[in-house]
Amino acid sequence: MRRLGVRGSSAPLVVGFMALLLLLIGAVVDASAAYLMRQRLDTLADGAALQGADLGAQGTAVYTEGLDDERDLPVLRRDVERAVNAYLRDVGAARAHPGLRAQVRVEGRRVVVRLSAPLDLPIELPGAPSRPQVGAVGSAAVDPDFE
Amino acid sequence: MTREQRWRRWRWRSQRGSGIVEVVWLSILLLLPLVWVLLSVFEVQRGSFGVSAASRAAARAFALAPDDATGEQRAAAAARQALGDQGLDDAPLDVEVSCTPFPRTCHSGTSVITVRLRSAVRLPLLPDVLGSGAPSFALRSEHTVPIGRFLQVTGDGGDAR
Repeated sequence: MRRLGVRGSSAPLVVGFMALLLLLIGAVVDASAAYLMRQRLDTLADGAALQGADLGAQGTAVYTEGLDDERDLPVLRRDVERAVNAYLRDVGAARAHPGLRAQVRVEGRRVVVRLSAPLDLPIELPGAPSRPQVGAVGSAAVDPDFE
Repeated sequence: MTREQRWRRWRWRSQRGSGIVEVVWLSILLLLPLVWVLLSVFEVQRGSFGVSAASRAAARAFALAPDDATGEQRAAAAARQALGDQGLDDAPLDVEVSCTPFPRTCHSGTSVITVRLRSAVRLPLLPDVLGSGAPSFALRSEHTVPIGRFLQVTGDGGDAR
């Protein structure tokens, strides 16, 4: 029986396990970074939707017909888009998230802002996408009771 | 026993237990720095998550308060609570509120509130001999919300939205 061949075989084993552990850690760190970025985009989208709903609901109806319990401010898509883009520009969103894209949707009296931006993964993993897209949605209603 | 037999016997006996020794020193050498880096990364990510949530909560709390003074108190309390939710009760916290276009009266129509939050997390398990002062990682976050274009003025002097 030849036993000399097993000499030193545990060192590559330990190093191999460490490499595997590093890969797993990299995946967890990347996932956390993506989650963090989604939260930041979520915050941005929330603020943008609030601003869009606030500034998008300013029709001439306010001055000509007044407001009462039955009539709310009409939300104008053009004004909402302008307000959302101005908000994102003012808070420096594009600087913080290069490649940021914003989609604005008006659903009745509800403003929905969808933001997406590529994420630079902190740890490059083999087989992982180099710049995955992270997205978040924020919405605001002009009338809180609106369903 | 011939000389060759003695040599073989020595070679066979000499590696007894060497595997466990290699595993132990390699594990210590590789695992300890890895664990420290991992703990530090997660500590920073936890702090980043905390300040991000805190700035959002603080800005909303300020916007929903009836006036600026109450708003600042509520913003600080909300930020502290949000950091506490992440287990960062002892982290330093600096809340700064600014408004446009009325820097002195934030609770006015068309006002836009920006809450800037600064904090720091202490990196774990780093002995003081490696550097003067506590090793920490600075964190900051900000959130901007509109107060509302139209405010309803009620009879008691407060604004109702």
